[in-house]
Amino acid sequence: MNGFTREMIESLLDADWLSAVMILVLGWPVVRMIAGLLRKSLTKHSTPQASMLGYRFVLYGGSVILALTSLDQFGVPLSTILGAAGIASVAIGFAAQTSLSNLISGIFLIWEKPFAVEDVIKSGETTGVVVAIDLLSTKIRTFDNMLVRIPNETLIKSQTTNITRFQIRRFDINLGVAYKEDIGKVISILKDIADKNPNCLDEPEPLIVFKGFGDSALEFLFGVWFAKADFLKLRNSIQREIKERFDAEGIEIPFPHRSLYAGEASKPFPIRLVRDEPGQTGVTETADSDFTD
Amino acid sequence: MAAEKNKTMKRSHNISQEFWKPFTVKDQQVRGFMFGPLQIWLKRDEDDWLALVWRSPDLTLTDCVLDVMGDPPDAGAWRRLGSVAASPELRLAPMMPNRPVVVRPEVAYTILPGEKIQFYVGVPLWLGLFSQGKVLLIEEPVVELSNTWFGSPMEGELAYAMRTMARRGVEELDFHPWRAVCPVRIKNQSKEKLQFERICLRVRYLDLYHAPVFGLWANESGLTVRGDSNWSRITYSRGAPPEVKHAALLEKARDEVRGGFSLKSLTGAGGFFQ
Repeated sequence: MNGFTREMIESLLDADWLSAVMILVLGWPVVRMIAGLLRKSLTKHSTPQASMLGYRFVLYGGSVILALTSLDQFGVPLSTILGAAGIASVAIGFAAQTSLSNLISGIFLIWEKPFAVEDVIKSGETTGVVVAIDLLSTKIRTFDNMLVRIPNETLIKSQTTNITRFQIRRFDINLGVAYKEDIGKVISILKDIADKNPNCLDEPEPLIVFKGFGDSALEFLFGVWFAKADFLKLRNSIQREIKERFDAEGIEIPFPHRSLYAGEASKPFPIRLVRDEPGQTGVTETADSDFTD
Repeated sequence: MAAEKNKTMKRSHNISQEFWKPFTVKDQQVRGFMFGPLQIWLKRDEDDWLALVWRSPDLTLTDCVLDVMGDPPDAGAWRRLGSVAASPELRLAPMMPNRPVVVRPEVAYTILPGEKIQFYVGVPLWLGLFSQGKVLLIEEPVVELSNTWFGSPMEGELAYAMRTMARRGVEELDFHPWRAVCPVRIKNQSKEKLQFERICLRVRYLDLYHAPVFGLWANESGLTVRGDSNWSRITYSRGAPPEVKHAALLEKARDEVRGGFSLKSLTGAGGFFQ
């Protein structure tokens, strides 16, 4: 039996067992109550992120203090255990580099605050609402209700977009109208559509840009600003209104098309129509016409 | 001065005080209320209140009717508001919009240092239906104003955009029973000229007063600019504005404000997006 083991056994025999158990039994509900009260208060007066962090800090910190105090009452020599834990942590640190990297990234995320709980973020192919920012990972609830766990290191290293950081956003629609249409008329119709849609913000004004001459259409960018809560209402209404209004005004939204010419550019592609009449053979009718694909 | 203005002020299509008095609705009874272009139809279905809201596109309507004749419009769906209280007494109340309103004067204004200027704004109201005096069952805007943003893209506040202009003289206002006149006093206490094109009014802090001849009015808002031209000290006077005599408090503000506060309230041409 070595010295440490003997010391442990002697300490345990001398221990104040009742006090140790009482500390655990009474202390744990107290820690939970304090953490709960803090969470309640922070939820009212602060952000959900601060509330969650405060709750966990008190709960985990209190638990560790309770455990150490109880062990002390049991007679376990804490200085020896803490010393051993220090050596162990170095060994674990080497073995758990990824976890440590996530842990440090988590601390940076909490400190830098690129997003908070309840923000909508996009990271890689994942878009969703931030449910929790923990020390090792960030949990995201996607819009089709799946939970995605993203390691904090990934979030720190890669590009992350916070979609709902600002109160207002711009919804950009790329539009094309036929070459025969009047550009001025199209712009004034788009302005009027934005003006009449209650979800479009008057200020900042809608952005209407004539982008240029596309392969099959005159191309426009129509960007309307909206309050972030109105995203779906705006997206569903404005596109329908553009289609309805263009139809009503006789403005053509063309599909991609291409004209092919054989021979001279100014002459249409020759097409020969052949029809067999009863009792006749050979060519009966010919015509030249555009051949359009 | 106020008395002189009174002589030239147009009379409102005045709304009777009766419109705001408590009333009851019997079981299975359907009752329609008309407040200008807005109609709210109410039905008591045993223990539940049901409501149907309809808005006329005709914004020139000025009638305020407590018992609209005929059947409810086909458009829209009835929605449940809540259970009927032990004493099923209801009341209608005018309410200010739930967000600030942004209004433009007829032209861009410049106020010289030390000068002040007065505007009048006719703000379209909301109609609220209360149970048991204070429990809000439904609130609806008489006209749906479009949204606007007052501030920079990164910070600011969501507001409603007013189509009508702020007027310098109260006699220029076109009174409607469903619009409340809000007097606004802007004071330039800075050392520089103050130029602005838009005013943001935090109407949720305004009380509503009923004046026997001149309709609904709000207490006066004061915007005082001292240093940075964007920031204004906002204060609200107590009591009815001096322009209207014998005005009685009809509805308290949505939110009470003590003293004043400083916020961005004025912007120049191009707003914050220059």
